[in-house]
Amino acid sequence: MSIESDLQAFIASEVVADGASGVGLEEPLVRSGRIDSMGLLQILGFVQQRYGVDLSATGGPSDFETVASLAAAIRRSRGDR
Amino acid sequence: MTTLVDLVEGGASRTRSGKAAVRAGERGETELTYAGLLAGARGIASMLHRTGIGRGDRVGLWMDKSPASVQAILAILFAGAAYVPLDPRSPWRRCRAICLDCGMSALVADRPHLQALPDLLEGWSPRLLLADAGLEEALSSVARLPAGRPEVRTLDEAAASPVARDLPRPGADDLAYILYTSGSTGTPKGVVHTHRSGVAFTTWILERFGIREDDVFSSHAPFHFDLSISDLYASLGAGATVHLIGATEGMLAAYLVRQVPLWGITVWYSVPSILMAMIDAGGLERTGFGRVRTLFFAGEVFPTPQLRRLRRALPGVGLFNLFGPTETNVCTYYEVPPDLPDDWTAPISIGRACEHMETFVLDDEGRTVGEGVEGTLWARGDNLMQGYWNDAERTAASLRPDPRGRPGTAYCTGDRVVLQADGNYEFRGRRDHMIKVRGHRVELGEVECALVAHPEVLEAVAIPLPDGLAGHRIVAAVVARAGLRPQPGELRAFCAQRLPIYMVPETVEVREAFPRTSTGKADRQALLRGWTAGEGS
Repeated sequence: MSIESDLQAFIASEVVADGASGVGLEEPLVRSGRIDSMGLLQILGFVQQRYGVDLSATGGPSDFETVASLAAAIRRSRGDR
Repeated sequence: MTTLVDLVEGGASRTRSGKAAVRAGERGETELTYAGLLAGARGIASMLHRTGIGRGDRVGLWMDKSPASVQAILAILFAGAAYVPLDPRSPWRRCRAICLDCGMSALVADRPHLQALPDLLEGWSPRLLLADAGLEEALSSVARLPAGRPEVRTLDEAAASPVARDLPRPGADDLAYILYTSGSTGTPKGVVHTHRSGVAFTTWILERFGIREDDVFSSHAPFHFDLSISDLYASLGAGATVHLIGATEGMLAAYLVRQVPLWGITVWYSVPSILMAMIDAGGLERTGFGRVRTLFFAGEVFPTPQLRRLRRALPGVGLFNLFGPTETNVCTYYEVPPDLPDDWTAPISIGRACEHMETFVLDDEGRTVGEGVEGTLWARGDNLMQGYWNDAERTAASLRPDPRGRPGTAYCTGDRVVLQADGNYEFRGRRDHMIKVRGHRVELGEVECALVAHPEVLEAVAIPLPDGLAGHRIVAAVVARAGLRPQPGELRAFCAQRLPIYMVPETVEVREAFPRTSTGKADRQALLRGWTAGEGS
């Protein structure tokens, strides 16, 4: 499973209230109102646990905009090590 | 200074840096100078004026936070009209209910919101749509409207339009803004403020805390939240800079700890939740929060243990708890002492009345009570709202002739407080079903109305579970219509289309029946006990 689809599956099932409609790759997560600060924490925890990447320490707002930007940030963090 | 327009023009004459509003992004900074901000705002105001929009009219703002949205807000005030900020992250259904409630003459929308315009404008249309986007994009969004299309202009075109010679100046008692908060009957209720109330509150902030032209004021809260009033007008009124923080940035605690010193912010104002997350993120002690000298928090109780950590991390910073519902802007405040000793476990006080306000406490029989006796907090003074939009009954119920028999009007906050020996109030809770979820004000009735709107739900109760020391989380229980069995997940999704995310119940329990009180009402206490017992096991 790609990082993208892994994140999409997690966010749809665990984070958003209306996950049945799916989560788009380029859909704005926070700006759309589907995710709030609690949801962001859930995603940070998931990324840490699954990929061993602490995005809270290094990430900026553009990393958290969409599933696509999250996946890119995870890849970047892993590559840096 | 009698209006917010006077206030901002005064600030523009004092600025030294020239910078009015800044939004930092990883892809660069956008900023507006005072000269650019005012010139553009007067152009947009002139276009509103030429469309016949002015005194008493309501103009909606459906935009993310940006210098352009600050300019649009000022333009609406310069035209003499009132602005109505719609939560850019709320579902369109809730925003549409607000548009219909206040009857908007014009709407300013940015690119991300143009897509949802056909939904928002279902069954109504403003006269004028100002789009913060290209004209083609804006025109194509209204081309999909079923009926009654507005005149469409871009914000850029409006900003560059010639300034009308006869642009009216608003008066002190004209409407300035309507902030919609959660409503117990299912529709948000509009808290109406005039220039007088906005200026009274802002002037208090400016004078009491000595806001200066070299300050950089944070704007962490969204514009539909009342914390934005001092963010915008105390900064612009002082000739200082307002630093706009977007929704995603505002949630990233570690990022903020790193950035606030770099942004040069000197006055910070936010809900406690993000400050607590910033303490947990670490690093505040090291950076000392950069140049921040004054820190305000409001919107929910700051638990004492966490506040102690903040106090010790930022020893030189003035920490202030500002208290008061949107209806009062702020009515009391408390300065956190230089140290909170380890044995201080009492909840942090909400302090005493702002210098230009008066507060008092009445018991349930309407008698004034003094020190040590719990009662309901009342406030009077120029900070008070004019009333609830379009709701004379609710206005009359809360803005009343001073119950002590003195001439004038007072506002019943609905907050239970006790006056302490040191002259400060202790907050004890609410008289009604209004709760706070991470600083957001929520009427449980609004959540229940959303659930009951589902065709398979007969009855619903939203249950506030204590979260931490003071705030709440929301869960819900419903009774289904005969023979039906709605899925909890489906009910949450249904709510998410109608409510902002912080109001959506974390779980929904579908029950055969509710426990009942002796009068036949759903027994909220029993439901709450059931939940807390169930969670503990």
